[in-house]
Amino acid sequence: MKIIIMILFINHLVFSQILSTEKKLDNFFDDVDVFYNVYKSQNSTLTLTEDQGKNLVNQLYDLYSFHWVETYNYTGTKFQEADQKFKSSGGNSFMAPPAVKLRTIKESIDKIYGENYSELIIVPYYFRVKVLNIDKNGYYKSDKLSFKKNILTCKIQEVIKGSQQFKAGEEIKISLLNNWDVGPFYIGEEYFFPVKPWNCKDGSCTEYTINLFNNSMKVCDSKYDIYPIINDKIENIGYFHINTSEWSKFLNEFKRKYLIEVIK
Amino acid sequence: MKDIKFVFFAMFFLLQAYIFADCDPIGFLRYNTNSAKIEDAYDFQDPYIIYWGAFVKDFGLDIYEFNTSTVPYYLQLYTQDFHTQTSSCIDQWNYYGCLDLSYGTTGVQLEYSTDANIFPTGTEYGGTVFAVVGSDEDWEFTYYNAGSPTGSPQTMVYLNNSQSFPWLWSLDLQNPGVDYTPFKPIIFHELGHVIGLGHIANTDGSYLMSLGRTHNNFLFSLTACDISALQSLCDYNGTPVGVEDEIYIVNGTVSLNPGNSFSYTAQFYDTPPASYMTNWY
Repeated sequence: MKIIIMILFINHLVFSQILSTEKKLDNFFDDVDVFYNVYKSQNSTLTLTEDQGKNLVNQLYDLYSFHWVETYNYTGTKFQEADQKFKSSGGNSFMAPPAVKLRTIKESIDKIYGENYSELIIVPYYFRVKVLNIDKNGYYKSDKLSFKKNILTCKIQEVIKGSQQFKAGEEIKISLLNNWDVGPFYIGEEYFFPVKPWNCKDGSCTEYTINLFNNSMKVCDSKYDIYPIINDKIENIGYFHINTSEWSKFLNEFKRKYLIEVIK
Repeated sequence: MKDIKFVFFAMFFLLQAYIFADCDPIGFLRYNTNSAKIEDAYDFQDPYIIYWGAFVKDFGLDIYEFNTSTVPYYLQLYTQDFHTQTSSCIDQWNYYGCLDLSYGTTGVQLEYSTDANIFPTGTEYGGTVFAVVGSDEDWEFTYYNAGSPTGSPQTMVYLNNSQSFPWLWSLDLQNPGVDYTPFKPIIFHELGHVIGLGHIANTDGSYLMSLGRTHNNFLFSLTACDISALQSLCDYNGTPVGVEDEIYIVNGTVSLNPGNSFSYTAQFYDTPPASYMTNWY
């Protein structure tokens, strides 16, 4: 009997957690819709008040930091719904994809909090890692295409964000497609890695990858920055808008600027 | 009479502008055998510069008509425009280039992809992947090869229609506003890669084949530097116009006299000033 009650209790907890995440997603994307409509009505401009910005930042941070996969799935579903609705209406019912709406919100947030702020706070994990091994024999298959894939086995030296899921000392495998032009990485070297789930299909993500950032608008085969840590100094940190490359100082400033205490 | 003078002057001015255009280093494509990928190269002497083989150079490069079943849902009523605009880009590359591109029902495939996993950040407009054949320093692009060392079994252009793409695609023929990405400049750029061009080492987006572009500041036609890059590629990899110097076998010490009829396959360099790379049969 105790076991049955325990199972029911756990089910209740899990179910309420799922409901809670769905509710958060609905609330957030309802807000996004409202602000996107304002943006469109004002000839593609949107200026948020500080309170509006703060509210959106908190929601964005919470969803992408703690419910990244659910948020990815949610936007995927909305993307499909927009497609179906357009087709079933004979082209009369147009809804912009969620990513398009979200871009306008993120740009407005960045006007308040600084360049690249929204891209930096939606990364779910930040680690300092040491590369233990590089496997160059992997493939990722995508419909007609197939891409060569490198898999970096890394030891997590320090968890900067994502401690609810990872601990220092654990190993993590990071996948990168060859044609992304990221790297080079060297075995035994240390790096600062923004990380996100990857290889997401049918509702789940089975791998992790580096969350790359665009310094400018690029086509697919351009170079992306990586962040080696050599002699306790981090390199290529322009995107973060932090003035010191000394690791401990960089880290303090990074945490101050881009980690948020969210009331859950 | 005044009118005639003006015409001559204008032509001269344009010619001068073309000859003295201040182009950043022109990019070709190279095959990096260490990482099995295609990347930019700016050194004419780079032995890993890769190009289409003799068959394509002789008989032309086939481009499969744009797969309009993959276009974004909100543009599905305008499929003919995708063909018209792609054809227009091919016409411009053909006009200035040396490969005869034909738009039909075979060859390099062009389509949108909805797979967010293949785009590194989600904001990339598109990309070109190549199937490759060959060995050592004699690699070639090919339409399809299941054993291609780059991993991709076919040469293909794919544009970003994934759920992460943050703009709407547009078929406008001028910059359509900050919320949109126009189709034509992107397919134009990717077809430049298909031809064999890399990026021009310039990040301000002055050229169609520039490394970077500012959004909503796209180019819809070739610039003088794009044309210059294309003609350099033709000189480099096109049909040889004559051999006036000694030729050296790469990685070897044997030298041959011009006109020698050796039945031997190897990669040769002509010596400057006529610099080109070709295969010798």
